[in-house]
Amino acid sequence: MSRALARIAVRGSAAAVAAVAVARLHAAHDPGVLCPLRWLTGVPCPLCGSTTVFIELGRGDWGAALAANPVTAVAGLGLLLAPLGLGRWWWRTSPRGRGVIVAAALAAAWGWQLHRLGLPAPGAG
Amino acid sequence: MSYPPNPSNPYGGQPGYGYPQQPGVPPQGPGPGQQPGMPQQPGMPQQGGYGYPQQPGVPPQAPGMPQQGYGYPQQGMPPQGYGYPGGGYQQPGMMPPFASWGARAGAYLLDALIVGVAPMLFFVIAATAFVTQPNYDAATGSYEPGGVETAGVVLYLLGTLAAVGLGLWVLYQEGTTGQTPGKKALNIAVLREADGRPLGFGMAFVRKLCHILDNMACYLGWLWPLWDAKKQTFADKIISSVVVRTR
Repeated sequence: MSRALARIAVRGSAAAVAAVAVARLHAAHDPGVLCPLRWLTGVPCPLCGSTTVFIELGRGDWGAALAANPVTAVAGLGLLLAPLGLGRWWWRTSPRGRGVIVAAALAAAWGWQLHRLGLPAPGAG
Repeated sequence: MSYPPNPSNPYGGQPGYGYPQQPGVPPQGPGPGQQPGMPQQPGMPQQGGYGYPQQPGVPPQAPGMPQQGYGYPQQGMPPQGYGYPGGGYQQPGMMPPFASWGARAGAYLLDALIVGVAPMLFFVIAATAFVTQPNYDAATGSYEPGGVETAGVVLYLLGTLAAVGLGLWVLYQEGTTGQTPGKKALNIAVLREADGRPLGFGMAFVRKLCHILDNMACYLGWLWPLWDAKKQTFADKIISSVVVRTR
């Protein structure tokens, strides 16, 4: 148990350092849209907002982080807490089961991104 | 090439992969729900469902039971790790456990540091010491064009050369031994799925090119090992490579 907690502490601190670093970097230089799909077509993808989750966390704005992509936020929390037994459960689940969960998560995330960012207006761009 | 016995090896004391079987011991396949080639951790529940053909009729091992089945009791053989990299599977189908996504990401970052730091130093020195910014004085109307001194140009070229050279060297290591310096540090290796041998420089290079596909689907390919049965990226799937733990 203490080993699992140590692993969580390592993961948590690594993620915190990365988040603060990314937030600082973003404040100094905003590279704009990173998502190739959104950059090319204007349509957001299910993973849109994932870097924003980290940037907002690094800035300490938890609400904005959750709003940017709740599915990424939950998945990140899952990765953080995986040593507690979540990881074992994940790899015990059948490949088909994992596929279904991932597909459902991506669909939910895409729904949220389309709601949040919307489709490009016809004729725009 | 194989690793010497490691006291910190969690699998220490277990037989390594692919030792010569003793005569008279019938071959034993992985039990149901067991990952082929992967020794169980004591007390850990078995991982399941990797889609490998399983041999029917072999009862599953109870968790916490002494290891059996992947290595038979040996006589006069020292315990070893997985015997990677480079050796190939010593028995067909005896695949070591796949590397975790975290270890792969960590190795990638380490390699990026190794390849990136020296060229970056050259570029920073060139930009700070040998580049003059253009200067326009609005009051007098004088304009002094900026420029790069020859030493700056040389440093830029050296930096580019260092980046290309280091990148190719890391790729050569990966292709010939299965391990970049980062992968070595994290005890993982990229190998051909079919026989467990290194990819070779050419295929390692093509695998790098295939990472473009991992980027194209919104970077989803990079995350694929988080749920894939063989923990492969898209590039791994195209090349038929797997990333495994070496100890």
